[in-house]
Amino acid sequence: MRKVPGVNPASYAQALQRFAQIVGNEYVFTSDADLDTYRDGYSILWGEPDELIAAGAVAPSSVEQVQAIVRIANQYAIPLYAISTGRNLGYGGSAPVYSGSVVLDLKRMNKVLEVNEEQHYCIVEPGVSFFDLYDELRRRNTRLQVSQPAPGWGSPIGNALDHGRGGPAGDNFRNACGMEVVLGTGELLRTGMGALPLGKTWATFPDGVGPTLDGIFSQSNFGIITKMGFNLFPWPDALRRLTIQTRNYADLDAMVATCNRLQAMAVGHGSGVFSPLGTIQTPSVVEIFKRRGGGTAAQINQLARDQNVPVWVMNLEFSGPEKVIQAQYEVATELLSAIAGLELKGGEIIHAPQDIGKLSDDAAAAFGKPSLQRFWEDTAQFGWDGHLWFSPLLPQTGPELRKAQQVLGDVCREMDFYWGMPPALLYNSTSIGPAASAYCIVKNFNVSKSDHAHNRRTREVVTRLIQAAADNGWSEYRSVPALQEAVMATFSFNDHAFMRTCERIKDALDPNGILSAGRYGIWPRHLRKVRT
Amino acid sequence: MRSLRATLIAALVTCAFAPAAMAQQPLQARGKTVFDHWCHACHKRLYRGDLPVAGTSSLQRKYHGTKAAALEDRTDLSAGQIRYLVRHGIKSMPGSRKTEISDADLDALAAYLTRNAAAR
Repeated sequence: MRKVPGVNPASYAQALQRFAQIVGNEYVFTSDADLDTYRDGYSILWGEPDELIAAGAVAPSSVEQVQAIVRIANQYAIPLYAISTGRNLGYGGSAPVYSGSVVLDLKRMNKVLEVNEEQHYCIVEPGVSFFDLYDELRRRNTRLQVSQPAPGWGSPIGNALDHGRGGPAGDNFRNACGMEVVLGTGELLRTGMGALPLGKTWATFPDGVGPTLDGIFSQSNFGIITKMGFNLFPWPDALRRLTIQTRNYADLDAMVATCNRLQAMAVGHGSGVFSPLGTIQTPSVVEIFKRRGGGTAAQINQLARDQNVPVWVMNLEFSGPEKVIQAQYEVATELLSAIAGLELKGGEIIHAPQDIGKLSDDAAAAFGKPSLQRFWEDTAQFGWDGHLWFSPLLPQTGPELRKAQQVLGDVCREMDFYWGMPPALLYNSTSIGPAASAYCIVKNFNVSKSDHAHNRRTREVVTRLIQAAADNGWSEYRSVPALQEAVMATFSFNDHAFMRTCERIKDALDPNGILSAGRYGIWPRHLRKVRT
Repeated sequence: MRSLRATLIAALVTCAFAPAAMAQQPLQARGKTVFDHWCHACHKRLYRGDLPVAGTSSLQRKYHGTKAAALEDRTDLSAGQIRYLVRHGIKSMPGSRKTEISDADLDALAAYLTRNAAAR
């Protein structure tokens, strides 16, 4: 039996017995072999003395069992760390933020509770994965898709609660509607229209009456989400992609401005900006990108000519009835044609399939078939053991993007890390139209399972990047457990009023500080450090 | 006549091996279901035009065709090897917990992925 900090072993043993009475011996894990499966496989602290590890794990199968476990944890002062599928790799995983916590593994709560085809929503439990939900939508023979991130093994609930992104929704948290929460006392809460005992619009009208509480349960530790509703998306009749590219570095500003104007008119939806040079690591490209500032505009243009690739590429997607998307396509190409030197390439029109089962996995992805393909692109192709994402948000303009690439790139170059030219993804609160949106540069760093010195240097460079971003008014929107506190420390307006408010909520909803201590820098009162 | 004799021999061979093979069939079928749910996304067979995936493409690179890149086509896997890799992971593949793949499911998966080795 491992140790839980601040809890004597006899009390912990008793708590484990009580947990076993609730879930059965089979679902209380205490052996090293079992607990090793709860390590974060992509941990930037892997194998080091301060790696964040679990002291135990308990896996309930129902809301009532979750409530019972939380009450027992309160009685014995056992810190719990809730995970849904534990596959947030690159931004976290199944390991707790507070080492020595007991992982509350919700994977067995894997029911798709409702699918409403007419009003296109679903209500799910936390252990449901995107793969599971896709299978259920196919089993019911619907023509609906879920908004999802690249990896399909994650949980819609876990992903949304960590502010995950994806398509078609864009912001997967804002695409959710209604939640059921077990608070730190074990009390059960339903938000929005779920607070109305016979509420029929729990998963279709988010606000209910009074304050909208849902937001406080994301990237926090105020409750354990046991149910959540999500809007689903009917397959569009037709899809078409427009690729916009240029061989001139200076065209970026006009490209971005024009795409922003199209976005504001709800004509197409963008995915951001990337440079094919960012994926090429030949000596001539690396040599330029290693220079301070990442090379001049003229040098980058020359590289693109030598490599026969564009400097910048943007994509616009059009989806909907074919007549509508054809009109949108014409509007977009007309506006973009005003910028001399841009190459515009229209893709084929793709129609919604009669039978998605007959499509290849890659073709079916456009209609919501999940995959894990990105784990080749982001990690395996480099032979890495894992990756860590640095993902700062910045204004959606050409000048700001160019500046961020230079400033953040220089932070890497000073420590001899390769920055290259990582893509900037468009992060908007709804997938189409003039809603709030920003760019997010997504840069992945290699995590090693054997080279601790490399991981230490990576922690240092990312810590420096977090500060350099904050100094320029940019910030990550999401981070790995080891660095969440460092990001939160930069949110310091008015003497950390934001964190002080989070702490007051923490104390009110989880008075004994049982739940997910330390998540995003929110610590319970008894573990809080003096803020400097 | 020759074909009749061949048929008879084939029937005898089938009979001799039938009980063991039949006992394995439900376990292997369950193992195929486990594979399709948990392993397929990264370890599927790749056909022309498919995008690379982490498992199959990494194994292709590792073995350069001296061993099959798709796990379902391997003839040299052992049950112990499969149990170890599923629980511990390797490189960027993370380990799987018992709440995901139970020990019984893992036995079935091992039976499925070693079926070619057993038949060899």
